[in-house]
Amino acid sequence: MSVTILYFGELREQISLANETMDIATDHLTVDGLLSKLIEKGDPWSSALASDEPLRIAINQEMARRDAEIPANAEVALFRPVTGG
Amino acid sequence: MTKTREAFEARVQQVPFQVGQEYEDFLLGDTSDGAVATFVGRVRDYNSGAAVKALELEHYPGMTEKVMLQVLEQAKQRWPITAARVVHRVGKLNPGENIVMVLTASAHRHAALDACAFIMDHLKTQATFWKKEQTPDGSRWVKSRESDNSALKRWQQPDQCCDHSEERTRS
Repeated sequence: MSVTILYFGELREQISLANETMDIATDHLTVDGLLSKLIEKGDPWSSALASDEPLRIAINQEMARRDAEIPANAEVALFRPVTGG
Repeated sequence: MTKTREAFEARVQQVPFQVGQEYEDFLLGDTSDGAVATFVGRVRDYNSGAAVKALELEHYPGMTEKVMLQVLEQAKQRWPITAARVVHRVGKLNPGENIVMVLTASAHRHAALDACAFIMDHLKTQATFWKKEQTPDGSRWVKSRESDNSALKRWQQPDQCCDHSEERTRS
């Protein structure tokens, strides 16, 4: 399945990428599963995503938990806690 | 044709907004709301022990507007407000510039004031914006604050302060 990943704010800077598309050979992918795949790519993904800093996830523009299932062709956004207002 | 106001609106924009103009536009054609609450958030020149020279704001286009409209809808379910608006800026902002404006309208003041505070507290913790500060020591991403999360908790209990039943029957 194909997943588009968006990075915002500090993560976008750390990974030096605003978005990327990954093809992953599975029908069942959770957020945790996707994070493992990204961390396997090594730096800068591993240092940015394996840190203890809080991570927020949105699947198709809805906030999601780490055990959430990712549908095919989903847009998954990764970012640090929001600081607007 | 008479222009009517957009009752529930959430906007993200680069250009500055004019507070007076937003207020006038928000109330266009309305004669039934006796109360309007407004909140304006500005860029402060000092934060977490350092001078702030400028602020860079980015957001998640699409999701931000959706989240802000959901927050307005939650406020509408909870209080008898007839209109609510959020205008939020992104891009580079200097100290003293306005970042965000929230407006709420209702027949009576308590609903307008409470809904305005509710919307602001939820925007702070849920709307997908991120701030980066430029300080004399370089730039840094602003961390979320525990006080913003605890501000949300007061809305998790049922209303203790005001009984809106009177407002509902009157309006």
